[in-house]
Amino acid sequence: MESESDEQCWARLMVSAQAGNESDYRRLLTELTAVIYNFLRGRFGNQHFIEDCVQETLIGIHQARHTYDVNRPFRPWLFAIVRHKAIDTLRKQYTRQKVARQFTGEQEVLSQTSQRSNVENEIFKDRLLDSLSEEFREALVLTKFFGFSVAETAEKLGISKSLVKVRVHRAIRKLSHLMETEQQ
Amino acid sequence: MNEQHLSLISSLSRDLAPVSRPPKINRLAMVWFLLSAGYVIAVTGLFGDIRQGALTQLVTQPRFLLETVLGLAAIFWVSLLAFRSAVPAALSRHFAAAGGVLMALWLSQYAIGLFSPALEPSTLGGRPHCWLETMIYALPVILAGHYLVRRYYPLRPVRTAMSIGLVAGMLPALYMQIACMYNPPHILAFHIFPGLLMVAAGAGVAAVWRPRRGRAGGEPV
Repeated sequence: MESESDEQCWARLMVSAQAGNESDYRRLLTELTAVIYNFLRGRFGNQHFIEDCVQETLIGIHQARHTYDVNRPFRPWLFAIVRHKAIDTLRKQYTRQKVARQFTGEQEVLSQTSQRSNVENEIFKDRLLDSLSEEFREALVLTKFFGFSVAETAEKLGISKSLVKVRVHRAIRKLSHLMETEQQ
Repeated sequence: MNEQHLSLISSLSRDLAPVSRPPKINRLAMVWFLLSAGYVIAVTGLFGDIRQGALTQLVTQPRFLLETVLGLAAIFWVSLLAFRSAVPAALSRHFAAAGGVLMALWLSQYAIGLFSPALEPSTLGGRPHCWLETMIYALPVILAGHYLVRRYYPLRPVRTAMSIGLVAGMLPALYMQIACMYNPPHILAFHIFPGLLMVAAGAGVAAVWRPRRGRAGGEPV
């Protein structure tokens, strides 16, 4: 007998969860946590906000569980929520100085050397961020990943605060677009 | 998986209430569209007569018919996409793009009409407050649509509400070309423009009347 695919299994577990089955729901969320984590890690690297994003996504799945239709495939439904939550969490990242302090190689990242630091390699190893233009990526990484304020980022990059905001906004929009097209 | 994840999963699955699945999204969109169209026709008729001979013109003037049918199709399509956007992954990019194309195609008919109108422009049947009627009639449609999509899970509630606002504004705007005078500059300024303003009204409604996003989620049985 052919074994049940992940897709079929998740769909079945979700239908059972919709009916109120706690153990199936727990199993589903446990399996999805690993999937979501790997998905995000594959796209953003090992970033601090991924933990928040996984939690936000689990809550999103819980709130949206009544909208899952068994006649539709499960994965697109799931990843629409994951994508949305990832971008949403990224957008909400504000100053996190403690994160910046964790990266001892911070100055290397900000230097003009052509060599990438370990920190950069960790961030840029995935294709998603690499597909952003350099100016967008710099603004996004400094504000959202390293936790610098808009003013600090503007000073480091030698551009105006409003230009930093524009670049961050466009970078997130571009990421959102990339993630959407990747799923379709 | 860390402790936080386990704790969250445990909290979410504890005392899990069954949820009832809401109606099929396309069916609901269709019902909303039909009821809204019926309401617009009824309320417009209640506050004034429709232009004399307008229905006959639909039969005798192919371009006028095309304009009307195109408008109806565009509005219907956008109502489907508005509702689909309230369910994760139910709205594809192609479907959304097709809605935009249809809407642009319909509105371009009036721009063309500035130079080559589908009907001989006239002031026959003019309603004194057509622009106000367009906006007022749209409001209950927006509220009803927003009430319905809140039961789902719109990932971008404001965008969904803007689409609902567009449908709600364009329904009376379209019907005004039968109920009010036919004159493309008048249609663009007093029917279409107020109809488009309802997109902002939709966004405003979404900002004030946010979807229920309690941790419980869903519709308890």
